[in-house]
Amino acid sequence: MPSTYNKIHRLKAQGWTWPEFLAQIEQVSVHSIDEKTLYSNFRLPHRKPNKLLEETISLLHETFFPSPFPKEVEGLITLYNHLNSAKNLRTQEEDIELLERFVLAEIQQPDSKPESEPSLRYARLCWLAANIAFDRIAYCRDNGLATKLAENQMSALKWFQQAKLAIEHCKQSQGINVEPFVIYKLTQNKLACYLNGLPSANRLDNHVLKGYIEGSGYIAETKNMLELEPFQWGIARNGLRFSSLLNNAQDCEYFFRALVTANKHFLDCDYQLPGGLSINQSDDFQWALTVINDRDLINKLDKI
Amino acid sequence: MNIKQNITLWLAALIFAVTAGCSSVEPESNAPMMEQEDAQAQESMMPSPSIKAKKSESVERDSQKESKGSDDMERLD
Repeated sequence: MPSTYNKIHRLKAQGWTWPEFLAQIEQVSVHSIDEKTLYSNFRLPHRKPNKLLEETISLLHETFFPSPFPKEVEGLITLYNHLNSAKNLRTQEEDIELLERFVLAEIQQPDSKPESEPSLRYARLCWLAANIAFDRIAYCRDNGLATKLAENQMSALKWFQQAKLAIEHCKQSQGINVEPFVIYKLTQNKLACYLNGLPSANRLDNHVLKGYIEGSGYIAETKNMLELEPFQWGIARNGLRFSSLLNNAQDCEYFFRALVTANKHFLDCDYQLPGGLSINQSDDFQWALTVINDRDLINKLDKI
Repeated sequence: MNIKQNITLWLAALIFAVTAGCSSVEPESNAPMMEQEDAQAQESMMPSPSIKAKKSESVERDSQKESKGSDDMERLD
């Protein structure tokens, strides 16, 4: 799910003025949101939205940018996300395994197979199976569970790819409209399977990772995505990360500019969002930082 | 002089009352710290049969020590 910040930007990018935005909110919610709150959540990526704003914006976003996937599978993904982020739930892993068993059984039913009739339902179930495997990667990496790590990495990659193929098939053969960002998410998730499988110290000079980034067309796809949605600071930040890991100075400059275009707060390389690392703190960006400094990008962009 | 003595006596009585009050508070009222310790003790005694049960603990520990270096990508839904 996109963050509230991204949803506000996507809604605003339709050309609404702030009074129009507030009027739209009143159409979907009995509660009113004051302009100050809305604007500060638009301006500040680090701002944590309150529950009311989060729910209202989600509702409005769903009205104007409805998910192409069936509601019952969206519900299952929400259920899994709640389960995965639950704290102190003793049966967490058993519950996740039960859910995984159900999802895999659904995917592997004869009428769910892509060769018979791929559907968006099938695609989203594959996506959920991939999410479950993906969420185990960091734990396996940090605890030296090499076999489990490889299994979960393979499984996540397989199901993300299967989801992508099914969506593309639905677009082409059934004429279903799926926005480019949906496909892009899968490209990024696959790359994340490779990146998260590596401890940060091993990312800087990893040939498998570099080979995958170069062969996947990720950089070009990321640039296209930023043309469509320049407010997506997360996409720009990852573009900068991978350009840094590939030691590509030109792309480092491109994505740093894109990051600052997305939000000026990123001019400060110590700028940190809750739960995340700043560019200065992350090992992945060390090479990019030398480019940013050598080219005096902070001063140049500050003046724009 | 009397007034000064009275004030001193009142102050002494007040300090005594406050000190006595604090020392007589039940240990349970130090809630956040004690509960946290209890929860941790219980958690460490619980069996962790599978990968994620261990995972949730390690994630909590990792988030505390993660001041620099580990910058994982979030999956997008």
